[in-house]
Amino acid sequence: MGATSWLVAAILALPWLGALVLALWPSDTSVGAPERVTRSGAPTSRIAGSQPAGDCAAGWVALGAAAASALALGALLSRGGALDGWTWTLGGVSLALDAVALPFLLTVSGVTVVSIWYGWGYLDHCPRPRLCYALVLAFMGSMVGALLATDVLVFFAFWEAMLVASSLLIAGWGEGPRVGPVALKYFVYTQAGSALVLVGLAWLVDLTGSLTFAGMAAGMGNVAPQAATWIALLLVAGFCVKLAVFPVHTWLPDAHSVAPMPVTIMLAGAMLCIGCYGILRVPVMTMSAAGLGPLQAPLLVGALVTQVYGALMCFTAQDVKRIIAYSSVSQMGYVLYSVATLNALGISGGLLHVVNHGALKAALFMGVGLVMRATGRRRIDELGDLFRAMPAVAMGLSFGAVALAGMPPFGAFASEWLIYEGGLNTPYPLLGYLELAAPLATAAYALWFVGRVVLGPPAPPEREVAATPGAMRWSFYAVLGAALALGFFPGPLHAWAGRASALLLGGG
Amino acid sequence: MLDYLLLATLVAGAVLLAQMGSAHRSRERLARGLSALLLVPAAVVAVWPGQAGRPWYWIPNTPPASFAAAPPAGGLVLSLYALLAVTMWRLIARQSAGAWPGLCFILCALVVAALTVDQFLMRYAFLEVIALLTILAMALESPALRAGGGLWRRYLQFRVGDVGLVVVIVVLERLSGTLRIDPMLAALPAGSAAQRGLVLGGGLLAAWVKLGLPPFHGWVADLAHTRPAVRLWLGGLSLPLTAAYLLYRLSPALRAPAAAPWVVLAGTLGLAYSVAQVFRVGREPERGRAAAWWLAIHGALGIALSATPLARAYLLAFVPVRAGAAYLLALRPLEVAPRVVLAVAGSRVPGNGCSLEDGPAGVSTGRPGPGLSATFQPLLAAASAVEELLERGNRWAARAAWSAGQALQDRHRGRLRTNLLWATIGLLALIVVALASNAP
Repeated sequence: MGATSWLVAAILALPWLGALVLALWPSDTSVGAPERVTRSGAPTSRIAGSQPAGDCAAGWVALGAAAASALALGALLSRGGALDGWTWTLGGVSLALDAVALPFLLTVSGVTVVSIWYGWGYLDHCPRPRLCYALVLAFMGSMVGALLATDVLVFFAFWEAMLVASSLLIAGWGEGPRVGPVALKYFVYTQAGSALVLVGLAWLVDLTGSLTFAGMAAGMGNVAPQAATWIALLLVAGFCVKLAVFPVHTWLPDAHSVAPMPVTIMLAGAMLCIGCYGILRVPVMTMSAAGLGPLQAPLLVGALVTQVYGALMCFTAQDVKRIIAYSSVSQMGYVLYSVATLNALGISGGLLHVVNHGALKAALFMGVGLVMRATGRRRIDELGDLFRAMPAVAMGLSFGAVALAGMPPFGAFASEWLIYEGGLNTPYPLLGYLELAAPLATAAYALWFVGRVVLGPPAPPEREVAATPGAMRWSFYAVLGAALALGFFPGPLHAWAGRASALLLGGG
Repeated sequence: MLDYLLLATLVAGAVLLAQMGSAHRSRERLARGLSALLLVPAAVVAVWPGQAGRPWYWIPNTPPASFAAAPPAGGLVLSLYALLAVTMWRLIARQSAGAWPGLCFILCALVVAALTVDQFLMRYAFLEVIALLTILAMALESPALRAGGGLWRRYLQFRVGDVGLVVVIVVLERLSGTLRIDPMLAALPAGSAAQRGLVLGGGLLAAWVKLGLPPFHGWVADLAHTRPAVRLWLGGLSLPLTAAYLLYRLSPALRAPAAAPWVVLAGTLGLAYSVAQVFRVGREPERGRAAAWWLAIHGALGIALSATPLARAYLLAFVPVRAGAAYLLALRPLEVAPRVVLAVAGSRVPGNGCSLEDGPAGVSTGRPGPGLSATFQPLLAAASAVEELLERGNRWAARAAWSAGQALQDRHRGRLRTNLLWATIGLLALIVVALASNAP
């Protein structure tokens, strides 16, 4: 096996290795006060006190594992090539990285690295931080595994592992009095979606006689069109639960509000899009886009409804995390719409939007976390005039919010334009014109949020704004910078997205 | 050369912003004045005929964009830079100009870019940034506007106009197969009636909002709380000039026999309403609000003239007329107006949730404004009701599952382990029988 094969394996293995190391890490056994370690001057300096040395080291191990996986991906991309033939096989298990998985893998890797960096500051007072970091890496490893899997068994195993890791993170480190019921609700919802996916996959395996995606694609000739439609319906329904599409979205606002912020960032920025990947990999690519034809109109309408509904619900929420969570519902409507266009423009735009949304949503949640840490408040009617109290964070939040509404030069402008173009090239141009108006809903809630939180009058009682950990601030600025860079230099990402859409639509 | 001019203007603006609050105020004032003066001859050179712009690649799947100052855009560029120089020199005497000088340079560069770029999607991108910068400048210039919290609604109104512009771009692109402005506009006459209607309707909507015509004039009225130079550039020149230029480019289509009467009618209605408001507001001395209506009169006139051969003359006179009007309005309060009693007085126009006369709610009284418009509440209530219904369904399902589990436990109390064992054995037996019966 060549270097590329080992790099593919490293992308998956490193997070799991890090998780294993952290899970087996012996706890501090010193009697009395644990050794205090402070960092100063560097971006990771802790303002809120200090932590035991072991927990600090655990943070470094976690970041190192995630960053190493991301670097392995970077090394693979730097070798150039047509994004084909990057596989790793051991026994009966095979992993492959192609153009379809690449945007999702970039998003997962990037979001996880900044989440862990952010978590250095956010999790400094949480119990059992090592176990938390271990589960975060396991969560990352599960998503990576699902993206690199070439057969349904490996794919579904990692799909379930994703659910288990994230549920444990919410249940073990969630915030507020409703952690238990919310974690259970999240588990039940996503498990129900997984059940639908399992039935669809099992049926497909039975009809095609193959466990691998490539084998199933080759065996689609044995599948009657009606059966293909039913299978596609099952799979899309199951993946849409993960994508949090209306009306199976109600798990998302609760889970995002309750989860600790680094986990929320991963849920919103990375995990949601895995649902989109599932739809692209199986119903679109394996079963061919033609098989989704009967479902196209309902999917387009459902996506439009999700966009508008999620936007409306933003106005009804009082908790700032919940507001951003509902915006994720709305944005997933865009992603679903792009997939439902079933053409190269729309799907390219959707893939670009996955990456842009990951960066912007991570930035928004990070900014909100900074506000919550500094002010001790999380209700929107208790916040206001942040421009005066925290100008840098307020500006960052403002830019993140308007960027989500498609503001140039951020990347969402280009990705949304491609989605519009794709929408107008479907057999339903009226829906395409309706899609042109949908961003108004996004702009409405984004601007309302900025107007209330950043520009509005200060909410009584006046309180001092506390200092925030450097790790939280610098990771926030880094993500905003990345989002801006994605906007100014969309070329490489667009090239990969174009290659992916060609693969998905059978262009080879 | 135009590219370098734009870059130089942007850099000058960034440097001035960075120097904001500097202890060397006299040096800063001199720098801004000299920069503005030096840019004027640079602008003359940049718009000199016969220069080809270099291609800029940015948005994937779109043709590259270049900047070229073909007439009448060249004239507009020169007048903008001349006005910039005048504005900066007039500001030299002020002790503290805040962020405005830097923002003014950047705004000028963006407006020039929007007027001279030859690719429609890039033009749209520049217009978006100009709109955002307008709101930002308003927030920075006026703490009252910032505290009122209503600026987000003004930006949302800009986005309403942008929907119209997006429709124009999308339809023209489908007609022409390109995003270059000249071929797009050339292909418009060949479109169907519906396509031409969409383009003209979308373009008029975009221009209407950017010109600050009722009911979208609130953002111009908000500028009553800002300095005259800010009012001129934001409310008089930046977005309104781009709107006037859009109308000029669309004027061949707007002059078509099917479209012209409607366009003239819309402009005339806007004109009449604005004139009525000038007389009404003129009874209460308030320069800023009256200025908004005077600008609306000029804008409505532009709408009406766009369907006539006078569109070009209107455009060429746009900058001098607005600059002159701003100067006069700054000097002479409008407390004296013909006392004509009109039927239309103090009316409220529904739809944008704001009074036509007031700025963002609560600005003048200092009260926090309402978060949302009253017309929006029923929609939110419906969405909340749907969400509650879905949650009730979740709770019902959870209770049903819990009850079923409890019932199962009660039925098998004391015998659960044994029953499970027999059930497992039975299942295995079924599998064995099934395999055996299917064996070849």
